[in-house]
Amino acid sequence: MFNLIYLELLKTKRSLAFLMMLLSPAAVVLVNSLLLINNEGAMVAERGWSIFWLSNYSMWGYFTLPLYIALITALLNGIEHKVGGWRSMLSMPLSQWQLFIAKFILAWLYVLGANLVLFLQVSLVIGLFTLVGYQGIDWWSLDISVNLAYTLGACMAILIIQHMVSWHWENIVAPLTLGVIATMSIVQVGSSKYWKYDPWTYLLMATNGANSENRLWAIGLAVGCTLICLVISKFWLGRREITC
Amino acid sequence: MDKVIEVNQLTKRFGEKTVLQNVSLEVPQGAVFGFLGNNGAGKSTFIRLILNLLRADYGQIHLFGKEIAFGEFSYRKNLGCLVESPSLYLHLTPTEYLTISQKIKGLSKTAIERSLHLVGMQKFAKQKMREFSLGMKQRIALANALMGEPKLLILDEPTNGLDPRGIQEIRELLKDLPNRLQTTVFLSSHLLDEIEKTATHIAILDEGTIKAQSTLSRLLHGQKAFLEIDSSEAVQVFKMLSKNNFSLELKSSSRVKVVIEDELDCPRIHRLIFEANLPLFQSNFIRPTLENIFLDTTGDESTISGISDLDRFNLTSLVVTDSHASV
Repeated sequence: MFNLIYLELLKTKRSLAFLMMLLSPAAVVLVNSLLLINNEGAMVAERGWSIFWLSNYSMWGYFTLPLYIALITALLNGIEHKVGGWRSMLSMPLSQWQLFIAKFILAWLYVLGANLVLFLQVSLVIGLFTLVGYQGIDWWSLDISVNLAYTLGACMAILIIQHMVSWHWENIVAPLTLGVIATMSIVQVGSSKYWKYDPWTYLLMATNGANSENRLWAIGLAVGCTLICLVISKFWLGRREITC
Repeated sequence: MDKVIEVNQLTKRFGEKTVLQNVSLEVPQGAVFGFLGNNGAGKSTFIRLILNLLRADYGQIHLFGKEIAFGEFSYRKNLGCLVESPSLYLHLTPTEYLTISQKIKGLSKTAIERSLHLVGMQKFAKQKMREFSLGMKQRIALANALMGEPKLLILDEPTNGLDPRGIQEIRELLKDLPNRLQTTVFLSSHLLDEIEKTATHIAILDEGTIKAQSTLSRLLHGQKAFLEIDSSEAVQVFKMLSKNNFSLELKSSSRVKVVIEDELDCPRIHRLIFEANLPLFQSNFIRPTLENIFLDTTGDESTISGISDLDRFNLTSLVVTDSHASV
């Protein structure tokens, strides 16, 4: 499996995957930095740098990360759709399930990478703002590793659904449309009592940190949803013919 | 001789359409097996079934003596293939691309160099494939199929896009593989000339059924040569030669086709025409080719002759012409 993940990573060499991993978090940090400049640093002067981190992290969780997941899964599967790679890959001693799991894990690793990039970029920006004279009442009070763990757990549900859609549909429009529509609904559904039925809201619940009970529910539901999707995929791929 | 591929009564349908109907086929070890068929005959579907990319509706597939069930994949380690157009990741270099097969098949890194050397692409190992011509891409796809020196090589139109020199090189390579690497080659194509120059065994697929299957030499030997005679008095020529017990066919009002049992018949026929004082514009001696066999087999009116029962397989529209004359 490690070999297969490495090979999937090799296929993304010189593709947009790595660039997207750098640019997606950068877009969030840029927007929040501009907001801080507009605010002349009052926000961090009153509530500390933690609020700057939380602001970045929330926007990342309920908006950019779901779209990033849609893009990265579409790209990983699109590499095969584009050149008829399925028949080439699956003519080798390899099952569809193994390839499916390898791509899923690689997508998850790209999400992990993007989260780390976000953390590094926020840290860098805080350092730069401090150098130019912005002062926060604290330096860092959020537990980053816990936040990261919640995000990586909660995103799995979206990741597996987007991966299944991207694997099945050759046209990249299908996964991207799903990603955009589902992301747009996050805030509205997330604020209702029905949020548990929408896997896209799990990220919001896991990253906003307002309600620890909801956070645990979100993680549990995300893991459960992922397991169900994996079982369905195992059955589906065992019967699926390669016609493209 | 062991059979590398043995297929019995294979049937595949896509919805209401039957693409393959009771196909049975045997590919002996060490053969270069030419699989011929028109576009849409079902060649690629057959290959996909062999590779287990598709599930058969009926029938059995045995590879290397073992029955293959849908979903099995470990047997593909002994198999190299190029199905339809090459599926290359053009943003990679050939070395990076071949690393995929190398790692999945668990081969050493030297397998990449060896494979590139076999197809004459070692000079381009570090160049991005996006910059390659169609022929170069085809060679890389072939190199990928040859990774690990597979026991069975399945190729679908391998000379597509190659220049004449490239075609000749690949042809020589394929012919050499059974001796050099003990590889059996299954070659699907509609290029009759290429198959005739490369293959030792032939199967002809038409509209989802196997029309003929044999060694190439048996098929060609079984097919008789003929003489095409152009004359303004073709009907008179036809009548006169019929009286002399030749198997013949009146092709048009100015052309007669005479089946040649023995090459010595040619001067005799010419002499008979002159002695009868009949005009003769042109006379062409035509040796049997794979093209004749293929066209006869896949055409509406088949006139293949001389193939023994052993060589015939589901040869439904065969007409033996050496026993009677037809107009």
